[in-house]
Amino acid sequence: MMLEGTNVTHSFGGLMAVDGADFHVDQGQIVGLIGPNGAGKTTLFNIVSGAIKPTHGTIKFKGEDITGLKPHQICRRGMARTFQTVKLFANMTAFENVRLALLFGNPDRKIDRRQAEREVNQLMASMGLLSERNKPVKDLSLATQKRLEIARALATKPDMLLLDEVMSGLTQKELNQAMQFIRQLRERGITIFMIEHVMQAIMGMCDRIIVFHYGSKIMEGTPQEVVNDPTVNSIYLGK
Amino acid sequence: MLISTILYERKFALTIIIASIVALAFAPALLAEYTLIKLITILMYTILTVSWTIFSGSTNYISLATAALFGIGVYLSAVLNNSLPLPVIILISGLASFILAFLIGTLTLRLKGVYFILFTLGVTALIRNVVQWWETHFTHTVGRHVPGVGNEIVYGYILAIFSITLLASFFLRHSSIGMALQGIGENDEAAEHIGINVTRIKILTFACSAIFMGAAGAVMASRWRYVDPGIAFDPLLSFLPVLMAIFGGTSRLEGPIIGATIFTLLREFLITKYPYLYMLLMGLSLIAIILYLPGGLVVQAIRWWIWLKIQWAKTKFQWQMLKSRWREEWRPKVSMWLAQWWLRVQWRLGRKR
Amino acid sequence: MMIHNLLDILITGLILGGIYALIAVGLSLQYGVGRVLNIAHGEFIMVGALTTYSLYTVFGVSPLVAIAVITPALFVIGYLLDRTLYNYLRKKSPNADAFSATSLLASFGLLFVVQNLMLLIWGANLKSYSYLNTSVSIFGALYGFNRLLALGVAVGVSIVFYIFIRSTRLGKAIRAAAENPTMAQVMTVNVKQVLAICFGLGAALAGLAGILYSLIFELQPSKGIELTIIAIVVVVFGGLGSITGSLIGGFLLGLVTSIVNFIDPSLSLVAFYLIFILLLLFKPSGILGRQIHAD
Repeated sequence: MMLEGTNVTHSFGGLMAVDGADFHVDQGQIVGLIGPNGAGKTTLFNIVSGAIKPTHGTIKFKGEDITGLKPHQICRRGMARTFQTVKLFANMTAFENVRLALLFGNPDRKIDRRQAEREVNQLMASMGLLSERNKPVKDLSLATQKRLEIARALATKPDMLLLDEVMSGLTQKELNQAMQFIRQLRERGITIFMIEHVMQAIMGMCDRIIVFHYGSKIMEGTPQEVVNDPTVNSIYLGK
Repeated sequence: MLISTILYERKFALTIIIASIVALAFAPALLAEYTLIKLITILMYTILTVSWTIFSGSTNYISLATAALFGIGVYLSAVLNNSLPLPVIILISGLASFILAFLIGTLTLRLKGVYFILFTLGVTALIRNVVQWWETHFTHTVGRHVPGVGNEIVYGYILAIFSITLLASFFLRHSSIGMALQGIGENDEAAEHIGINVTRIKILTFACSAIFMGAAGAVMASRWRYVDPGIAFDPLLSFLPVLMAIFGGTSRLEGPIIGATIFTLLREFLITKYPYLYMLLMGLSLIAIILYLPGGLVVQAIRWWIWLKIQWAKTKFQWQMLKSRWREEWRPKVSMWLAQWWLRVQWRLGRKR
Repeated sequence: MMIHNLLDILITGLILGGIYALIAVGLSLQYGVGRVLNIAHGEFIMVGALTTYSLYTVFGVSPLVAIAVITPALFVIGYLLDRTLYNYLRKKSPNADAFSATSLLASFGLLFVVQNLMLLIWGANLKSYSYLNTSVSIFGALYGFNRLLALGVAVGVSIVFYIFIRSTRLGKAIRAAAENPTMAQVMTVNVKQVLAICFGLGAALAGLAGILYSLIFELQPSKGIELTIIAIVVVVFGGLGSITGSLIGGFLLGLVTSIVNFIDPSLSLVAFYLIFILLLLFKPSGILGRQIHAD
């Protein structure tokens, strides 16, 4: 198992954002995390990436206990993420954003300036971002920004990528491209854990889906199993 | 930590910096004593402003502790001046400021920026109180006298510290740490998630920037000759570097330098002409700058310069357009009319004969 | 003798605590709701104090009457300041952290402007006046009536304010906004108005605290900063998002100051900062504050 969470709980002044959640993600899979708004999905991501500490429970990544570690330590162990509201360095150029991640996300490698530039250009070219590289991020379209955020995460050479609602706000064409791209990532050996609301993406890509409600896992299974589950249907009534 | 090799790209800026330092080195021989003293003050404020900008310029962590970090150097120098030579005192002061800044940083930089700002606000008063208390109860000294070493020597030390501060700021800006600081200022959560140890970089940068403040303080004690807690820990010295940095702009290296120079001269002028109003005017300037010059003077000046160049290019273009229209449309017509008029005149003259 | 000392400490503590509670609640309203780091807060306190002084010594106006004059005046000034200066900065700031920085700098400038104005009007020397200085005997010890009056007003206003903030709709809305400003923006119809009202209330409380302060202490324009620092420590102690915390914290820290003053008055700032340091190390969210996540 690449990622394993046991009894993960986070309470915030009496409010249980995440309540005794058990979940796991196997290597090489694309696993989806779905659930109504407020079900605690982003909070779970925040706990896994180290942004917040759980009140109870443990998280294991690649077999090691990472509960309570800070985000930069977890990043260096091979986990990267994107954010629901895009958190890029707005006044820096696209290139500088990715370069910073390359320089700091891989502490064991000594990279000199020219090699770093080459690698950043390569990465950005592979994602169709090369033409935008010298533009300040705030001038880019939302779809481009989302792609850039993924590129920045990839610059840290992760083994696992947490994607938080990357498909929202995309046109059908962009959606297809994104899905294709994520499948390619899986082929490159990166495990994907994604929060999504866009059903087409979930059904089309995920090997397994975890359903969250009120902070805990209520069901998990293949897309087919989830779609046919009566509890899930009653929660998503009308969705 | 990866230090990138930057010299081949930033050679121009670096040359200017080194040239300026060399030029300034000749100042004692060329300038009158009075001007030299003014220059010492300008350099002192520049050191404080540039050091302040190193940390507070890129992040949103506004430090109000400059007076405390500088004052420690001043006071240590006053205490130790009889026992140790000045260079050693300067090093010790730098170290003491580093330690103080490191402690403040460890306490507050793990938390949101507001804690840092609020804590540094009172730190100067706190240290002044502690020193005053110590002096009253233990050493029974009110003020201390520091033997002077001559303005030229003071200038020499200040210039040295100024040079080191400037070069440190320059190299930091273009290094990976400098880029990390910028990222932290833009979005520290994202920075943390791409592998940057945000807290450690913040603490170390803040602490290192304090070294220059303490060192400068140690030198200035010899210039001021009389030191007491109120003089050493003057809250104005927390305010002025902030004002100067914001005025000049924090995104480029020239910003703090220009801001410090202009405002030191401005302040000298205002103190003599409007001694009762100058604090008011300084306060109003800060508010005005925040409202109307948010990027600072340097950035604004660059924008105006670019605007001017565009206007000039537009004017040149319009002038060219006018010239070509003249050549292609009007001149032939005018020539034709002139020719016709001349012929008509000739014909009339011919008829009259 | 011991009881006498204890009573002395207690009553002085409550007097100080009342004033601390008022200034802390004022600052808390401005930061908690509007996210403005108003470090010029202490200057407004001194303006209230020195105006009371002048009203009394020059026009013979009783400080109690002065309350009715100064408090609304400062409310209006605070309201206008927020509607113009801070609102403009709010609109121009891309995020909460940037606004904290720019609003702080603006307040910094304001601090120097107001302090210079005070110096121009009142000069740098210590000033004081005595009003209702008659002695009252409590359990055999003598206390100035003016001090007890200040205590009474401070405690009274605190209680009224506590009821207001806990029970009335506006009070609850303010508390909610202080704990979660982004949510408040979603739920309030006229955000600008509410923010400006809270800022104005904060300034009004500063003025009131200044009036009470002037009854007891000597006044000087430069004393503003130490009052701001006290307000800051109390607000952090009570919790950065909690208005009730500032209220309670004020009284508690007033007692602490009173105790420290008994031992060595020149160490009160040190004591405050020790508390600040302990808070930062162990519970930055304060005694009543919650763990505040990203703004």
